[in-house]
Amino acid sequence: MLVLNAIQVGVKRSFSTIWRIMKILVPVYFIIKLLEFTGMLEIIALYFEPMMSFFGLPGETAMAYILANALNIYAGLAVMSTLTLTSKQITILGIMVVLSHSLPIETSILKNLGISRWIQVVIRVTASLLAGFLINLVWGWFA
Amino acid sequence: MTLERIYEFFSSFFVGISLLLLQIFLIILALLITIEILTAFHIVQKINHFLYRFTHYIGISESGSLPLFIGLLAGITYGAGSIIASYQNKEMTKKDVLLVSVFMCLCHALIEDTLIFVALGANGWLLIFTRLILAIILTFIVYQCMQHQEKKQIKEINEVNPL
Repeated sequence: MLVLNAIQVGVKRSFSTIWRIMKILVPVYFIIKLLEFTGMLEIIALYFEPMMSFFGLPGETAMAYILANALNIYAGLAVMSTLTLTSKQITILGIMVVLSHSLPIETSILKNLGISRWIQVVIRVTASLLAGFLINLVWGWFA
Repeated sequence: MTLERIYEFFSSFFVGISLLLLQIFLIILALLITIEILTAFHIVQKINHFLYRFTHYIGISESGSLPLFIGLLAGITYGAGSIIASYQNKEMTKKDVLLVSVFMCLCHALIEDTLIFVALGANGWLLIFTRLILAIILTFIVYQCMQHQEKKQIKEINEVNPL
């Protein structure tokens, strides 16, 4: 009985969560697909190519990183799933995104607990850039 | 743009978005059911007792490691809510609140965030360990700074009022 009740609550909460995620995921996915189809994504990618090459990533991934930080992790995921990336690139970008994402929402949650918003942004962005750079450097040792 | 290209665009959009949503939904479903079962049988507290053996090295007390564990499992919103609840019950000190918040800043929703990238083909262990190691280092540094400051304050008090 306890198990059934737990499953019921879990299913209910999953539906409301996926609904919340869909509201951001679907429009972002649509826009990125459109940019890709019209060739705009390649132009945007050219601008970010030099910056992202620090992490061994192609220029298009800048869109995933920026959208993940400005909106949420699922927006970044939507961009990543439209790109063709190697396993190494997905891992590096994944590490960077899990360390620093949905900054507007998450920093205001922790602000209530006494860490200022700017310190949080600095900590998270620094950690993600540092981790992306280092993992790219040492990747050869693992794989 | 021809009609064929438009058709191609929409079909690839719908197939892609459906697969992505299905993947995310299954991950969230599995995770939320697991969390509900863990809390229903009070397993969270038992695991927390084990977790405390590690968290006390970075200055987090046993009542502080429960919100930390909830944050790691269910996400930053639940973790922060749990911190506020146990701070109001006077179970956590101010120091605990700060240390757990610093840890959660870099490391939360560990399983959900990792699994959605593993679904795309990332190396999950690398994601988990990089995040945990960075959070542990950061929390440890903050803990050491706090201890240093505490010692300095005690020293100052002793200098003013020598026993």
